[in-house]
Amino acid sequence: MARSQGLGLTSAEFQILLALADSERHGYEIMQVIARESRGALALGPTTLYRSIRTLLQRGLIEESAQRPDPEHDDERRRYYRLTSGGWETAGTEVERLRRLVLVADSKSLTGPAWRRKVGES
Amino acid sequence: MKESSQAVAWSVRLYALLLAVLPADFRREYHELLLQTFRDLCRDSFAAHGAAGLAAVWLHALADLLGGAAGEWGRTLRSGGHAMRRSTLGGIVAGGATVALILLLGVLGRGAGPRLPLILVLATVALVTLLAPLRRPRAGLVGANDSTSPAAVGSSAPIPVEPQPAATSARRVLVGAVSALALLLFLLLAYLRLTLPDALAAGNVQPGPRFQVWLGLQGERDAVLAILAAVLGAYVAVAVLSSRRPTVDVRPWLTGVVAGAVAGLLAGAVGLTTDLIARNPRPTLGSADVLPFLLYGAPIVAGLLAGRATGQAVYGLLAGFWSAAVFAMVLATGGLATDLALANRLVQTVWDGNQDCRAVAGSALAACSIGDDLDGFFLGLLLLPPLGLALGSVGGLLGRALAVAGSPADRAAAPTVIAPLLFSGLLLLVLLAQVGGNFW
Repeated sequence: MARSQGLGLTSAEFQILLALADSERHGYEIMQVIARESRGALALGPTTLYRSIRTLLQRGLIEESAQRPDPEHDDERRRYYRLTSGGWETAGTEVERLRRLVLVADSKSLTGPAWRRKVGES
Repeated sequence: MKESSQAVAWSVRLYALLLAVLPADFRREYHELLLQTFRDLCRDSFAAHGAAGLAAVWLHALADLLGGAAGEWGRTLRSGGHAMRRSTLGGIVAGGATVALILLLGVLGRGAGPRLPLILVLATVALVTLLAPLRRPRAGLVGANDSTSPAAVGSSAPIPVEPQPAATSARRVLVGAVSALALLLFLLLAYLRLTLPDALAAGNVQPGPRFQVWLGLQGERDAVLAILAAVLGAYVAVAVLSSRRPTVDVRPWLTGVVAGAVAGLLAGAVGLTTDLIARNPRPTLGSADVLPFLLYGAPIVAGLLAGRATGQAVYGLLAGFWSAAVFAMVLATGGLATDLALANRLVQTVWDGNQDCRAVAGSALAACSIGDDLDGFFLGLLLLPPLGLALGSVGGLLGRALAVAGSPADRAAAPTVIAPLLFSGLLLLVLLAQVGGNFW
């Protein structure tokens, strides 16, 4: 999976950071959130998911949560992950970078109605 | 519901098997999590879309697994880093040099008859064995140098990686299988050698000549095969030993290489001097030639040093093997170079009374004597390493008694290689009996 030029995050790693931005989650839940939030465009497989999680753990962007759910409601063998302060900072920086790119794209009519018109004309 | 749970359970079992394509490090850490996530995926997809949903999960998971495995293996190889590249380069150089030398001798000694293919087989075994001691355990840090954690972020904390024993279970299985095959080969040959002549005579059966050769009915052939089995056993034992490392920072094989090189150069210098000034037979120091002292002494000394440094006698065996192997290589290389460069001088000195090359002179004597030496080089390369193995174990035992390092825990670890060593020792005894009995 190609890494973006900004902070060396792959698309999967960035999506995982986004998925953890509002809650601690376990692996399968992260997959579900990513699939839902990307509207099915990005469906991670288990191997990619855990390779990405390991990279994020090694880079200190996420950490395992010590909290465990009630065993009656969930499998206590699951590992839950959450963002670290470095993860918040990296995710925010990446979002800011993307936002600037979108602004540039806006100024060049690569978004919204102007873009749709051009695509329609061609 | 039952159908669903069965389909999911079988899928998870199959997926668990397929996870074997991932590197062991990654699998060890994430095997259970991967299975759990895959199980969740299968369960939900089957519940929502039935068998078609399960098939879709499989398609996606297979592509994901194969792609992930390729990436993970690449990452594993990269994280081996400098040490892996250096050891691979060293292994290629050492193995290539040995094979080149043995092949060169083989080409030059085309008249050596049945020993030539034997040497070529040994060259292959030697190549594999040579690579083993150059392997280093993976130790150090990953993360900081890991290409998956770019320095741009600068937040990657180095993660210490525990040194892993180089011997993997697959390697042990391979070594065990080779040892078992060599043992079976020997037992089969011994059984046929003991029983077939009488059985054939009783049945008045005369097998064809090729059969006679392979059944060991033509004198020295069975000895040659027994030697092959013994040498193979020795190399297997060395491969097993080399895949482990003593807990103290000592390289027994390097001790052996140095001892063998020093003794070999010394023996070569003495031999060259006497060759140039003396006539056959060679002069001796008192009643004994100096060569055997160096030949037998170097593996014992190397074994003693290795056993003393590690506190484990088995590493004396490893040092002894390498000492004798290097000794043989130095003598063969130096002897061949000397023969070729100084043939004119040698036909007037030491070759001039060669009992194996009677009634010839000049270039015919040179050719005959070089062929005679090549035969000796073959035998040296073939027989000295197993002999060094035995001598090194004697030195190792002495060294262990004088050990300055090595805890009781180190010594407790030693018996794990006892089986191949016993096997090698058994074959060595057979070799010596065969050699003493009917080979020479």
